[in-house]
Amino acid sequence: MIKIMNGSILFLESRISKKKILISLLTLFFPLFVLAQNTPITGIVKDETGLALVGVTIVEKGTTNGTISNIDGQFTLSINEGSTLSISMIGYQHQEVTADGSGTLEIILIEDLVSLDEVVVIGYGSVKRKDITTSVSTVSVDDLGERPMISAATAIQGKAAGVNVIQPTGEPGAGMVVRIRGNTSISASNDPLYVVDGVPMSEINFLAPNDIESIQILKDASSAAIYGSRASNGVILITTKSGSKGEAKITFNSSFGMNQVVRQMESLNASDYKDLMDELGAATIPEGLTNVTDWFDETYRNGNVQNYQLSVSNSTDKMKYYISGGMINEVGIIDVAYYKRYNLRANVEDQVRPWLKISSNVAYSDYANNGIISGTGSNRAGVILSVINTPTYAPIWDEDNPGQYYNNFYGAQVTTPAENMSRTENNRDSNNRLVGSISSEINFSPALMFKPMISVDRVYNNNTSFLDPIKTAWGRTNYGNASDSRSLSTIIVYDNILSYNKNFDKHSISAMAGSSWTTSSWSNEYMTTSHFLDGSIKTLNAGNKVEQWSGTVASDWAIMSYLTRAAYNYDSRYYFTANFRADGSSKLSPGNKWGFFPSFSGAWRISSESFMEDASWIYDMKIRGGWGQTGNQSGIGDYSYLQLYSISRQNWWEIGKSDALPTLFPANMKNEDLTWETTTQTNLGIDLSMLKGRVTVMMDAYYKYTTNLLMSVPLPSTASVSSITRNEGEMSNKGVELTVSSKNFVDKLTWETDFNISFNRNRVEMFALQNIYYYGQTSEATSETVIRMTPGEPLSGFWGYISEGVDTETGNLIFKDINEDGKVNLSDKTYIGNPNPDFTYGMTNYFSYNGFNLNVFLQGSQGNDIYNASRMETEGMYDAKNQSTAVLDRWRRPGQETYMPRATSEKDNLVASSRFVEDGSYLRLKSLTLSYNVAGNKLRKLGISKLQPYFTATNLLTLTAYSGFDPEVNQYSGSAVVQGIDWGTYPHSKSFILGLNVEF
Amino acid sequence: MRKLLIYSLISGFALYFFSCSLDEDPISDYSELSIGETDSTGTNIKYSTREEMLTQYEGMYNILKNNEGLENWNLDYLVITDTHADNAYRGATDAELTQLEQQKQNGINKNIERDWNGYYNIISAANRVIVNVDSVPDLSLTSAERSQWKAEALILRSMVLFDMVRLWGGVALVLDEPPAITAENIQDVYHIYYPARNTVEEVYTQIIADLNSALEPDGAPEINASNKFVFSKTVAYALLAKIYAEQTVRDYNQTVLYCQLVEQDVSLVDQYGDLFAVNDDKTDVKLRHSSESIFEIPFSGGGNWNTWLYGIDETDPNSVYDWAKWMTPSRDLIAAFDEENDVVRKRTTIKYASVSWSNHYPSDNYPHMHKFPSSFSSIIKLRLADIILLKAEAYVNLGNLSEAATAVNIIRERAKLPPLSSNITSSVEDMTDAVLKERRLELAFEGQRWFDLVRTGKIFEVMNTLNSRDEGRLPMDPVTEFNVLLPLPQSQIDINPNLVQNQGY
Repeated sequence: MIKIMNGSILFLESRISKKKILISLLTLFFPLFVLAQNTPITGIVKDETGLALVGVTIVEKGTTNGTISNIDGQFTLSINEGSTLSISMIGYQHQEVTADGSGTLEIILIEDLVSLDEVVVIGYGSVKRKDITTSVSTVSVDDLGERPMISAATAIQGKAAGVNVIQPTGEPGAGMVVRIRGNTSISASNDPLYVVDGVPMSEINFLAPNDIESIQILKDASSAAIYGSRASNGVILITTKSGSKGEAKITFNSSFGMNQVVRQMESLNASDYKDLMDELGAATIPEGLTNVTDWFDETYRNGNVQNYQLSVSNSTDKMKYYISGGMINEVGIIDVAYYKRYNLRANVEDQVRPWLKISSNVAYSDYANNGIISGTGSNRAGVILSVINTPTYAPIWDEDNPGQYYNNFYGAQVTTPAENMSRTENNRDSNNRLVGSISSEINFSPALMFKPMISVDRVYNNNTSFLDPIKTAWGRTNYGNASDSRSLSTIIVYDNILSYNKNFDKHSISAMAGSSWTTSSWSNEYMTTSHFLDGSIKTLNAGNKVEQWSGTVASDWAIMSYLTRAAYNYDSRYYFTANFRADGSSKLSPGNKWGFFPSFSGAWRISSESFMEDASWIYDMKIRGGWGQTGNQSGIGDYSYLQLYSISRQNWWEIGKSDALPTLFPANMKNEDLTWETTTQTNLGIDLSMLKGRVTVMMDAYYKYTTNLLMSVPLPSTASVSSITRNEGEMSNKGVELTVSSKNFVDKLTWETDFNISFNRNRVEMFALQNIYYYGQTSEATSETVIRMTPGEPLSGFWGYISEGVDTETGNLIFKDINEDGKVNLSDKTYIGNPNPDFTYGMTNYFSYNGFNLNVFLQGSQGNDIYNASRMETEGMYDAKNQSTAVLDRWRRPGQETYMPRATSEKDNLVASSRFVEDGSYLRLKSLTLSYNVAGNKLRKLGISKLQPYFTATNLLTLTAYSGFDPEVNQYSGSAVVQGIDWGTYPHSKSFILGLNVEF
Repeated sequence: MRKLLIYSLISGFALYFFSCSLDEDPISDYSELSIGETDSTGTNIKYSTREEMLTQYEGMYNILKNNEGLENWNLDYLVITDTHADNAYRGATDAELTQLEQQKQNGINKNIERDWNGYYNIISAANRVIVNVDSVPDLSLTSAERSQWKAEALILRSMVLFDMVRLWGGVALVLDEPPAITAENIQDVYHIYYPARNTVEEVYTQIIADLNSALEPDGAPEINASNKFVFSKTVAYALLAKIYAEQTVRDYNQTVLYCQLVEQDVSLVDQYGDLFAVNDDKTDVKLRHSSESIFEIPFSGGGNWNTWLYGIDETDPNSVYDWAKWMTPSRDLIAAFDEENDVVRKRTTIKYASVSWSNHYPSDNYPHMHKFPSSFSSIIKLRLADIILLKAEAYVNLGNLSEAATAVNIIRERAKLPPLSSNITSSVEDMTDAVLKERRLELAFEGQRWFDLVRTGKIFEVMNTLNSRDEGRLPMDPVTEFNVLLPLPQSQIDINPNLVQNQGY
C-alpha cells in the first residue's frame, strides 16, 4: 500500500501471497498492464535560471491526487500510467506534462511575467488580474523589507500613477497626505478610505509596514463605488500577511538609520545684526556684543531611527497563521520630537470543515509621539523660524535668573529656539489601537459562499502637555499649565456578504449581495490646570487652579449599507460588471438619510480576437471603461442638521454669581438639507502587455465631477451665526495617467523598471451663495491672505501683487499696476502662482546580479509653486528680529541695483506678492538601496534560509530651485484649499540606514 | 436544497438582525431637541422655559466679558479713538496699529474686520432676547421681567449701533433673528442675510426710538448703586445726551435735558486717581461700581487681560514689562498735560517705567498707558465726568457760557486745577477749545478723543497739523472727509455685495 504524506511516500508492507506471485509472473509479460495501476513518478522542478522551486503544486489532472515539491524542488507521485500531471505555482505559467514513466521528470517552469492569473483583492471579493475591468493600481511591496518606514503610506509614494503622496512636514510620525486623482473636497476630507483586511478606516498609523502582503488602490468610481458614501477619494485596500506554503518561517528584520537635516540656513552674526538694527531703528542694540550661540547647532542634531520586526508564519493544507511583533523608534532631528511604536499581530485562518473556514486578524499597536510648535512666527514661539530670528549674541540661559531661558532682546519680540522647544518638551500624544476581526466563509455549495464578519477598531488616545512654570516667559506668565485630553473611539462593523461564482461553457458569472452595518461611539475627557509650584510634578493634581473649560463630551454615528455586484464575462474576452450600494447615515436629517451609489464597467480583451492574432508583439491587450458615483461624508458633523447650541460657563467666583447656571448661544445655522458630496467619475483605460510580457503599459483617462460640495459658508456678520454648513458648490478634476513596467534584462543580470506619470487638472466650477473665498494668512506682520478661491480657477491659487523688482531710487518693491489706473491698490492683485503640479512622476529601477540587489527610486513633481512665507520672517527686515544672511544684499543707497528691498518698519514690501512665490518643482532620489543575499549551504545547515544585509539612503539628493528647506511642504497639512505654503514648517531629513533581514 | 433553505434563512436573519436604527441624538450638545419646543400651531418656539431664556439674558451680559467686550469693544476701540487720534502712538509694530496711526487704514485691516464682526455678535445676542422674550410660554417668567429684560437688550443694541454709526457711517440695521435657510426659502430669505446699508439718519432714528421704548414705564430698571453692570435708565439718558450732540440729529437742548437727568443718579468720586487705582494691599481695585460710574464691565475675579497689553498688572508681583505694548502715550498728549500743569490726571493716566527697549522713548523713562493697572480693573464705558463736560459743550453751543464754565470748573476742581480764567470764559471760541481740551485731559484713553474731534468739527485742523507738533508720530496721510470714517471690511463686502464701501477706500 502506498500512502502519500508530507510530500514523501511511505510504503507499507503487504503480505506476499500466491495470488500475487502469479500476478507478478504475469506482469513480466504484461508490464504495461500492471504499471497502469500505480506508477511512482519522481521529478524535479526548476525555474529558468536553474534554481530549484519549492512549494510547486503537482496534481494528477482530474483527480485530487497531488503533492508539493520540497526544498530541493523534488517530488514523487504515484499516478496512473499515461495520465497528465498539472503543475502550477503562483508567479509561473501553468504547465501540463504527460507522465511516460521514463525516469525522473525535469520540469522547467517559466515565469508568468504578467501574472494574469494572480488573484487581486477588490472590494468585498477578489478577481484575477486578467479579469479586472476597472482602474486598479497594485503597489509592489517587495522592497518594503529594505526601506524601513514608519507609515505604510510611504510605500505608496511615487509607485502608482494618479496617486500623489506628500509628506507635509518632517516631524517624526507625521502622517502622509495621500491624494488619489486630485482634490475633490473643500471642507470635507480628501483622504482616501483605507480598508485593511476588509475593515474600513480613515488612517493607518497603527499598521507596521512589514505586515503588509499587498496594496491595491481603487482609483475610479466603478471600482470604489462598492464602498459608497465614503469612497469619493478612492480606496486603498491593504491585505496583511497570512502565512505562505512550505515550512514554518521565522523572519527577523532589523535596521538602524541616521537622519540629518537636508539644508542649513545662516543668520546674521552679531555685528551685521547691529548694523541692521541701527539702520532700521527697531531696537537699540548696545555696542560690543559678540557671537555666543549658534542656534542652528543648538536646535538640530542627528536623529536616528531603529526598527525591529519579528514574525513567524506557516501554512498547511488546512491552516495558515502569521504572527508578528516589533518596534520602531525615531528620534527627531530637532531635540524634543520623537515617534515610537510597538506593534503585535496575529492572523490565523483554518479550514475547520470542508465547507467552513474561520479566520481572524488581530492587531494591536501602541504609538506615541511629540512635536514642536511650528507653522507660526517666532513671536508665537515657532521653533523653525526662531532659529534664524534669534540674534547670536544671546546665551541659552539667563545668568541673572538661573533656571530661566535668556530673554532680554532689547525690545525685539523674539524667544530663543531653546525656549520654544522647551514649551513643548513635556508634551506627548499617545495612542493604543486594537483592530481585530473574525470572519467565516461558509460554502453552501462550491458556487455559493456566505461570509459574515465582525470587526472592532478601538483607539484610546491620550494627549498631554505640561508647561514648566519657571523656565520660559510664557510659563512664568501662566504659572505653569498642564492639560490632559483622553478619548476613546470604538467602531464596530458587521458585514454579511453572500457571493456566487459559476462558470459554465465559456460564460462566467459572479454575483455578490450583502449588508454592512457600522457603528461608532466616541467620548472625550479634557481638563486643564494651572498654577504649579515648580516643574517637578507634571500631573494635573499639582496645579492649584482647574480651568473653566474642563469637561467631557461624547458623540455617536452609524451607517447602514446594502451592497450588490454582478459580473459577467464571456470567454475572458467580453466583460461587464455592475455595482450598487445604498448607504444610510445617522448624520443626515430624517427623510434625507439614504444615498444611492451605482456604477458600471466593461472591458474587451482585444488581443483574444481573431483579427489581432497576427500582432504577435502584443501579448495581452484589454480596453476598459467605467462610470460610477461615490460619496464623501467626512465633512458632515455628527449632528449638524440640527440647530446646536454652545455652552458658555459663567464665572461662579464673581460677586452675585455663586449659583449661576451655564449660558447658551447658537453654535450653527440649522440645515435640514445637508447631504453627502457626490462624485461622478468616468474612466477609460487600456491595459497592454507586449513582448511576451516583458513590457506592460497601463493608461487611464478620467473625468471627475463633484457636486454638493460641503462648505462652511461664512455669513455676513449681520447673521446671528458666523457661518452655515451647506452643500454649496461643484468641482471638477480631469487627468491622464500612464504606468509602464518593463523587465529589461532577465538573465544573470536582471534589470526592471517601473515608471509612472500623472497629469491632473483641478477646477472649481460653481458656488451657490458666495463666490470669493480667501485663505492662508501667514505672518502677523501683514493682514494678508495669500490664497483666493473662486469658480473657474483651481483650488488654492496664490493671489497677490506682481513684483517687478526693487526701485533703485527708493529701495522699495515696484508692484505692477495691472488696471493702469495710476494707483497700486487691492484691485491690482491677481493670480501669481499655482501649487498644483503640472504632473508628478516616479521611477523605480531594480537591478539584481549574483545575489546583489540595487534599487533606485526617483520621484518628482513639476510645475508646482510654493509660497515661501518663511522668507517674510527671515528677510522681512520690519522689526527687531534677526534675519538670514540674504539681507546683506539689501538696498542701502539710491542708485544701488539689487533684488533685496530696504530695511524698513513699513510693511509695504511684505504684502502678498510674487516676491515670495517660488518654483517648487523637484526631482528627488527618494531612496537608494543596496542589498546582498548571502547564499550558501553553510547557512542552510544552520537553518537560515535567507540572510540579507542592506544599506539604504533616503532623500539623498534633491534637484530643485526652491530656496527653502524642502519643496515637499504644506504647513496646513492635508488642507485642499491651502496648499504649498512654507511657513516655519519642520524640515525633512535625509537618512542613512543599515539593516539586516534574516529568515530561518 | 433543504440545506440551502436553512442557510438562506440564517443569512436573512443575520441581515435583519444587523440592520439597526440610524437615529442618533446628541449626547453632549444642546440642540433643538433639548431646547425649545413646537407649540400647538406648529411654530417653533426657541426657548420654552424661564431657565432657557435666562441663558440668553445672562449670555447677553457675559458676551461683554468675552472677546467681544474686551477685545472689540475696548482694546481695538481705544486704538481707533486714541491712537488714530493724537493721544497715542502704536506700541509694537503690528500692521493694523501702524495703519491706524498713519491714517492709512484699508479694507483688509484685520482689527477693523474683527470689530465689525464682534459688534454684530453683540447685536445678535441682544436680538435673541428682544425677539424671543415675549413668546416664552413659561409663566414663571413674569411680564415685568419680560419688559425689563427687553429694555436692557434694547439699550445694549443702541449703544453698539451708536458706536458703529460713528465709526463707519450708515450700517445695516439688524433688528431680528434671521430664519433658517432651506432649499425652498433661499430666494425669499436671501435679502435678510445680505442686507444693504441703512443711512446714518435711519440708524439714528432707530436708536432714538429704541432708547425711548426702553425708557417707558416697566422698562429699564433704575440705576443700582452697587451694580453698574446693568443697562439702567441712567445709561439710556447718557446715551441720548451724547446722541443729541452728534451732527446728524443735533439738538443741544435735549442734550442738556438728558445730562441733567443723569446728574440726578450719579455723583463724582472725590479723588480722580481712585477711579482707576489699585487698592493699598494691591489685591484688587480700589473702587468698583463707583458712585461716578454709569455703566461699567467689572472683573471682580480678575480676568481683564487688557492690563497686560498696556503695562503691568500691579496686583501680581511677578508681572514685568516684557514687550513694547499695544499703545504708547504720545508727546502731544504729555505736552497737553504739562501745559495745563495737570499733575493729578497725568499721574493717573500715564506711568513711567524703566524698560529694556526704546522704540518711542528712551528706555529708562518710558511712558505707559495706566488706566488698566490690574487684571481686576473694570472697563468704565460711561461715567459722570463725561456727561458734565458734554453738558458744558452743549451750553457753549447754546451761548450759555457761564453755565458751561461752572460745569468745567467742577471737573477742574476735582483735578486740583484752578478754575478757567475770565478771558477764556468770555469767548465762545476759547470756551469751545477749553471744553475740548478738558475732555481730552479728563477722558484720555477712555474711548472719546476721536469722536470729540469729529463731533466738534476740529478733526481736520488738529490731525493735519499733528506731524509738525509731534516728532514721535509716524508720517500720516492727510485726514479728509473721505477717510474720517473707517473702511468696511473687504471680506464682508466680498461675502455680501449689497454692502457698499465708504467712498475713499
